[in-house]
Amino acid sequence: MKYKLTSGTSILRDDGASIPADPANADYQAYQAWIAAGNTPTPADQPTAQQTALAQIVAIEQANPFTHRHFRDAFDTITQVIAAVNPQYDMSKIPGFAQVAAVEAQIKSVAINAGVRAA
Amino acid sequence: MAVDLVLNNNGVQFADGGVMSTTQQLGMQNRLHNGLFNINQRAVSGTVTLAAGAYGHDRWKAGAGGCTYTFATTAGVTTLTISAGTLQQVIEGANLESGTHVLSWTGTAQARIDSGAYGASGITGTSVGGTNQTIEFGTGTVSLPQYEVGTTPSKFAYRPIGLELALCQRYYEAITTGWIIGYSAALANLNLQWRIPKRASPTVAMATNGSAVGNGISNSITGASTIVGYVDGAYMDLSGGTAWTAAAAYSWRGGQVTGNAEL
Repeated sequence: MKYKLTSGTSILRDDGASIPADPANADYQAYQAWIAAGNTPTPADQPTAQQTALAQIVAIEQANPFTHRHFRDAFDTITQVIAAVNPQYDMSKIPGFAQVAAVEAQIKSVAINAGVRAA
Repeated sequence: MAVDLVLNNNGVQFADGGVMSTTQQLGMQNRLHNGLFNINQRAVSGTVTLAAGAYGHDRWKAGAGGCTYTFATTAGVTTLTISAGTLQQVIEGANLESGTHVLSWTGTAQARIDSGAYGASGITGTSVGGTNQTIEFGTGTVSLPQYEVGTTPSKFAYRPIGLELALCQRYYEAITTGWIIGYSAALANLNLQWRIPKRASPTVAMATNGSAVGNGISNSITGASTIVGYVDGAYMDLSGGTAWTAAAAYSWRGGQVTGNAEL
């Protein structure tokens, strides 16, 4: 039996099972005994670019509570419609447009780079 | 003066003439779970060969030397035939009270209590409330094992199968249906709630990926990550063969997730 660390507190066993760091869990006790016997678990995977990007998106959204996933999509649609109807319209006249656009640009950039959103 | 209850050596007689005797199904005196071996969530069959510590029928696991057994059911009673190694059950200390207990069963196997000597049906042991205790059977046949307070075995206590399943699911459970919520094109979240809260945070495994059906697609699940188990549920991230849609709901089908909090 071999074990691998994760980015959280759980331990991954080589059969794919996720073992919680609960001293009452028999599998965790076995893991502790395995460590005590001098064994070393495989280090945790480094987060992929996509995972990092998703974490960044979540952080941005959490830091900017006035926007969220649904609003972001709606905002995209609205601005596209306005641009199609009147390409000369000055979007900066919309209250809060600049702030929302700035956050949206951050999110879009991260998402496109991570491949979780089309360019 | 009316007499409501009459106590005698065999039990209690009620005013309406009904008798609850000690040989009837008092039900809860058996501290062992799955004594009928009729709960088999892991679906073992044929010749069951278990590595040390591996589980066969619910709550029953191989001893230090592994275990090989077959089983057959007649009239609702399953008899195990242990051909090699030992088969044991660890009784959770929370289900034990301090004092002398007696272990009884039907069959040719011998058994021991904790590290005591092996003996025939009727051996006794001393339990300490709150401390786990191990019952272990050697080679031979065994059915209707029972571990109860006292020094004299009573008739095997039958419990409703639904109750017995619930008792076993405190330690192990397999879930095969649930709901998935899309998080992004690359990830979706599977959230599950155990039917019975677990003894401790369980070890969780996606035994079979299955598929997600909904939002106009059927998406074969290709993997699970960030699997986290709690006493009352579990969650994990899923990747799929095709893109997920954020916030869309999918029905999870054909898969299996297990939660293991065995002793």
